[in-house]
Amino acid sequence: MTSAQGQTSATARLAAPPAALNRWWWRPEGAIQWAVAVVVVFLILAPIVPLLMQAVSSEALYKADRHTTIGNFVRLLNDPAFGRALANSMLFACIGTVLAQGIGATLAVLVGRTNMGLRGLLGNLVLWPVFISHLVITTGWSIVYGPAGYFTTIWKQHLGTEFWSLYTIPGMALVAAVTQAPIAYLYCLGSLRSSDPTLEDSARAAGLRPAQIFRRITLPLLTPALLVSGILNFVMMLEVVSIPLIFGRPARIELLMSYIYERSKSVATPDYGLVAAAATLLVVLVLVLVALQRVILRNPQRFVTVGGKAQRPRQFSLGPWRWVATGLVAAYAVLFVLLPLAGVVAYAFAKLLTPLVPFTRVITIDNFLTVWNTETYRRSVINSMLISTIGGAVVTFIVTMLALVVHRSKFRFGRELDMISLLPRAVPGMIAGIGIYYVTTLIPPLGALRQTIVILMIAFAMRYIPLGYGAVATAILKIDPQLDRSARSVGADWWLTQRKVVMPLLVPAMISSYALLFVYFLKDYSTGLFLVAPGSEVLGTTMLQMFVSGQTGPACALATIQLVLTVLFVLLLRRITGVSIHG
Amino acid sequence: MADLRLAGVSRRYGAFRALDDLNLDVADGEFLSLLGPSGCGKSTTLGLIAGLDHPTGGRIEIGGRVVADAAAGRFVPAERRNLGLVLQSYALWPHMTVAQNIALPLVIRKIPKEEQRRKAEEYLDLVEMSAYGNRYPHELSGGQQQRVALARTLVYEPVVLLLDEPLSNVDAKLRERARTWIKELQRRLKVTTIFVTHDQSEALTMSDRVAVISGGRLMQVGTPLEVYRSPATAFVADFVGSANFVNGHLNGNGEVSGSGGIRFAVDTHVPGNTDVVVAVRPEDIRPLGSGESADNEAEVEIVERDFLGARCVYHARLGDNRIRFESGILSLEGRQRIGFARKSAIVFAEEK
Repeated sequence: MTSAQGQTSATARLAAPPAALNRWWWRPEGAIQWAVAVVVVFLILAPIVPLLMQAVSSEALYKADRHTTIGNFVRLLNDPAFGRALANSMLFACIGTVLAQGIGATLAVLVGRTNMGLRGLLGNLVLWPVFISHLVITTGWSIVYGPAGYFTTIWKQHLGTEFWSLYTIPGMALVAAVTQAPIAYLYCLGSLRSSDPTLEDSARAAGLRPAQIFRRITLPLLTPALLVSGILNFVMMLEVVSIPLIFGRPARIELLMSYIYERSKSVATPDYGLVAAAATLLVVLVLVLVALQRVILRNPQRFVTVGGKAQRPRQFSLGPWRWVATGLVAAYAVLFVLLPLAGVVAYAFAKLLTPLVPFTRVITIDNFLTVWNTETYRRSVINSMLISTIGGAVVTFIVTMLALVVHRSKFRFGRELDMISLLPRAVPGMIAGIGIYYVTTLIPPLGALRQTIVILMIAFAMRYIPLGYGAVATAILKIDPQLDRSARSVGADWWLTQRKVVMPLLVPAMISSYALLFVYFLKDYSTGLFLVAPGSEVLGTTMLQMFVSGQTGPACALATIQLVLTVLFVLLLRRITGVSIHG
Repeated sequence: MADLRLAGVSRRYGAFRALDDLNLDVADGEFLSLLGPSGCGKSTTLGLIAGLDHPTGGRIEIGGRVVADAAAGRFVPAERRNLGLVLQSYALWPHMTVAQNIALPLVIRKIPKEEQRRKAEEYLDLVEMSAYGNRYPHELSGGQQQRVALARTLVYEPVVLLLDEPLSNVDAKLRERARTWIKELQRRLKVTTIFVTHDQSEALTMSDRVAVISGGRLMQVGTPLEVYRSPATAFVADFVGSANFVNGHLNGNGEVSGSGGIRFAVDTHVPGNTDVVVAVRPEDIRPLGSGESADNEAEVEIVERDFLGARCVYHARLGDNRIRFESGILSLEGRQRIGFARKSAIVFAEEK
């Protein structure tokens, strides 16, 4: 130990508070917090407010002689087509959600809690749809299982007429279920893995057989995960654009999204009021569902039991059924996930894809050459990469700042900010796009951005704030607030504390958030539908327009490029940081 | 180094009074413990002194400087109070090494690099952790983390040191050594120290003075001996040390007739003809051998015995009352005559 004299002499020199701390006139925290609040509120309200204005306006927003009216809603509700679309959408989403939850829960139990074979491989395969655009999966299904699809043709040759049709509501719901099952799977898997194994051990000690334990203890613990992911999936199914356009339109089955699309995108004089009214009703519907989910989530500890120690729950033994289960899951993964993707990739390298002609005879790289030689397509790839790389970083920064302000400051409107940040979840991508489009007609300086990808970045930022914020906010809650307090007490102000202590600890969460945003920005095809202009095309919207107009080959080439970019990014990220993108 | 004054400090959360009208003066260099059960307001008090929380009423002065004044709307945030705060979890920043943890307060104060290194070393040495500068917090034991937390706090020579239950995460065996160690360090550095604890033995062994808090109110403040020997309320008598309580009526002659028909004599300033609560500490009651006598005597029936090593605590029946007493005689059983001096009975007028 040093001498007491050393201490006292040093004391005399340093006893006063440090000079830097006495600059009372410079307090960055208030300015920073307000700036974050303004940016977030603007991003979130930008598409919603004009949408609401348009919904109660007699004429298009850019016209001068408009007045407030409820006429749009009256017209909408008197339109029998809207009633049909609403009913169809509900039926579609219900069937799809039930299927998705069934598939997801079964997969989670088999992969997470039994001795089924090939668990690691199959568990990964069934997750793929999370990273892949709905549009690509939908197209893949059409290429393989459509009326003239590859698989359908083989079936016809050997077994007669196929028994399925994707051009029906149950058919569409099945495709939707395959795209959304991974969400249910991930929620259930998380719940199964975090449940306390001693609950099952004590049931076993009490004399219950494994099958009884499974039915009475394990399954009930899945209920909250199934409910929460079920609402999430239901909302996604109301929002999905690719399935109604690719399967619904040819079969004249109109869903809500295609109803809106038809009346705004594919007609010469869009009925703005009607579209905005329909969109508003949809937003309200989704808002109710999202609120319901919040209510369920409010008391998760009522259902979910999290053990303090990292114990792994025991495996249930399937006995002879082990290989039956393996076979079924493998068949699902191959037929429902792999084959449609393989169809897309194969089509990208073919003049046409049919079992009637050997693949070697039609193989070609013409589709890729078309993409390379067409400026629009090339630009779509570049724009998408720019938006994902830069936009992902910008949004990660915004949601990190938002999390700091909400959870780590005494900002007066922190709670309100927290609540409003979930609002975009209630706005389907295409509708957010319409809303931003209205903004550009209302605020002239923003109109100048309309030809650039900046406007798309704003729309994407708004749409995916909840996604990135969710990743960062869960992480920030796990950082002990005492770390901040001790930094404040040793003399660091709010902003310095955030930079030196909280942010470094948030880095893994920020990387996860960036990865999620990158992948979602790259695969998004609906938000840009109403925003793209010559010069600002993105992969998703370009592909959708190509598929809808029948340019399947080059569209598949673009889809293949998108898949390769996604895979490279995910692998690269895992290599560099060791951060896995989900979980 | 500085003195500390809390004048009428209150903290409310809605209708809930976490702290109500607290008045406390702490002298320069004094070691004062805030003692009370969990939820009593002691940590709230610490947060208010530290500047992590705003008082809703009253004034706080540190070294003559007003750092919080609810009426005047003045509030100096934590980072400008130059206090040292050691929290229960130690809150070492997990992404920095021990040396970086200790250096950060100096970096903030823009102290030259060379002096930063010298001071960090000096204080690591002071807490006997010189060999651990390059370790990360998770590589240290609880006791080591505690010492690093202290070094990190002392390195910038705060005017007041605030300790929030710093010993509760240390093993029982190490805790006693840590007590002595912290006390020695504090005496040597002469830094004004506020020590929050719910452990009465910590408060009694370490402090110059103890402030007992309950339900957001200050019950008593005094030296450990005063608080123990002359508790101001029945709550203090019960919380600091332990006591047998008897409800009864005090007559004009200094005699209490208690429940269950027991009568005994007391020395007290409480005026006669009042309902009272009388506390007698178990160690003040002794078993009487034949021929021995005491101011108050009674015969009890021993029902249970807790063996503590050097002494035993006996649980016994006295009429309808259950009492405890301590003795170095380890083998008492059955019926036993006991006695206590009238001055060892502590009398509280019953609160109406």
